[in-house]
Amino acid sequence: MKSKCLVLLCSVLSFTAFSQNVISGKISLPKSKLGFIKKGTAYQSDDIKSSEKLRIDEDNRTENNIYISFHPQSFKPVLQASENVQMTQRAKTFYPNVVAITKGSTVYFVNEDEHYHNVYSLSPKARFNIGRRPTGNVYGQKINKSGIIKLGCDIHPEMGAVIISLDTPYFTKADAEGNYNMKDLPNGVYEIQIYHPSIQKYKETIDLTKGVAIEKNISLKPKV
Amino acid sequence: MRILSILFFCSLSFFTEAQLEVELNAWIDIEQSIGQTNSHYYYNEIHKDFKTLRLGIHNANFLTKVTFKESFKLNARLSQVRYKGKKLNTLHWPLLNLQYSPEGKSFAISLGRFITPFGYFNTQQHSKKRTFINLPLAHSYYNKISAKTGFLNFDMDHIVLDGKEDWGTTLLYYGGYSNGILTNWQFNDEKIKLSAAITNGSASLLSDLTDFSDLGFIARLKFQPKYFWEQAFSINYGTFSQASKEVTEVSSEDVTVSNFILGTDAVLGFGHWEFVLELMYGSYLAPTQTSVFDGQSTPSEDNFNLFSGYLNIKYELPAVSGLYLAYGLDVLHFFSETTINGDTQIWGKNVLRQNIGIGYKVNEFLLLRTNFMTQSVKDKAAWEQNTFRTTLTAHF
Repeated sequence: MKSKCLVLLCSVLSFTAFSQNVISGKISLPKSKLGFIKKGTAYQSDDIKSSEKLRIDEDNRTENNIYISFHPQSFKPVLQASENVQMTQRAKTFYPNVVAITKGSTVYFVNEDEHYHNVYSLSPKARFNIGRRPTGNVYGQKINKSGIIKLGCDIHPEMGAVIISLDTPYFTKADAEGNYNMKDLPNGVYEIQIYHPSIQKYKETIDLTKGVAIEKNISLKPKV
Repeated sequence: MRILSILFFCSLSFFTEAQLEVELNAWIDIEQSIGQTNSHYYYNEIHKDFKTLRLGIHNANFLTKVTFKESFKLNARLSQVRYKGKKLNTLHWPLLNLQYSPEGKSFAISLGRFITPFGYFNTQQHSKKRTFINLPLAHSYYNKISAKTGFLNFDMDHIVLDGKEDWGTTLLYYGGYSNGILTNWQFNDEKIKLSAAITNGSASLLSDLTDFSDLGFIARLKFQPKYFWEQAFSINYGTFSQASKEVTEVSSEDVTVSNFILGTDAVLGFGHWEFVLELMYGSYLAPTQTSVFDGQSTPSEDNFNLFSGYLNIKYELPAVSGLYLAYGLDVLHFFSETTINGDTQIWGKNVLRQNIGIGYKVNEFLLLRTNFMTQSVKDKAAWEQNTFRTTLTAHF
């Protein structure tokens, strides 16, 4: 009887420890009555936009760059550097203008324009200035701390981008319709976070201890 | 102006969200400055009453770009600046234009009050884009050419007309705006840019939105020979005149000054270095003091030529992101000996200015700059017009 109980306990523990959760759902972006008012680029941008610039602006729209991350609260995750993370500078735009990485990863900046660009950050988590770089130059910048790192180009002040440096390997990007699907989440308590420069930061704690697939839809609020 | 503001905000309510996008920005400059014994607003931007250490708001600005149905834009800047270096003036619209720029096309047309498309410095309207606090000599040093009476005479700094002091004009209007119609074009993947404007006056003229008595043409061609090098050429020809009761009482001739300026500017960048060079040749055809012939006073005109140029060097410290050191050399050279009433003289005193500056971007909203400027003018001790200025620019 004693050995039977031990086997049962072991099997329960192993199921709990190694079972993986799946969480999926839809992220809804806010609809604000004042959505047409935003921080601008007056005095900063050219009035004439090339067709390439218009296409990149479309790809860089908020709904195409929403990342959702799951931060374990009940255990410490093993972090591995994100690989091949690239941010290009094309048509005087960072493309993509939002990337997510694990801390300790290197982001490669590629100048694809036929004029010089630089990349700088004034964020306390990673202050750097890589200087002016010619066409085709690739520069790797390691991001050692987690946090939100805002980027700019000194030569073209209208350019801006964000690196979301995370202390968790569990994150994914939602598709253009806002659908996300995060697999292989170990059992544990997580804080769900969503960050984008255009929306209010979202945080919520969730308990995943049953090794199941759950659906969670999230409605975001506009940035005040 | 108040009616314009009300009309502007009321017009926004006629559009739906899909048809309208409103972009907002603002900035304010808080400045601490100190001048020297011969400081004067018309020479070194420090008012003669403020030679001791002074802290105050230098300018406050609210910017908006309203896009209607993707092709039409309204650009506006509402501003309050320290008038003649002393008190803040009333709110005014230095920039107010309606722009047509169809999506995917390579041109734009603007009507109203826009940034003067002459030279490099005018494009640096936002404080945070400026390396130094001081304006270049071409924009800040007053020459003896008055819009009301022409040449001020050799031994005069200024003249009192209609009860107001007139110190002449700067080579380029310090505010950097013109009124009229402007077209911008881009070619060859943005490597070539052309701007041309028909304006109500020369680029030197300080004029308001409703003064259409003068005419001017301003154009700028910018191209990019190499990825690290932008080169541009600018041209301006126009007139400036302002009615003066006292002058029209003694002469039936209208006082009109014609002004020609040719300029070139280059921006070069390597690693953490940036070099900006801007050169200008200016020429005025201006009325002089009346000459006496057969006992009759007759108006006459003369040519007044000058050269202006500056070189700014900026180095961004790679180890301290946001920090830069800068040096600037700025000259104003008057030439062409002018003979008036038997006197042959150079019509202005040459000026040599050196700037040393440090700037630090504290974060994305704050820029701190400090600027020591030394200025020497012929026959005056070099230190008499030195300035020390520190500015905190808060912006979003």
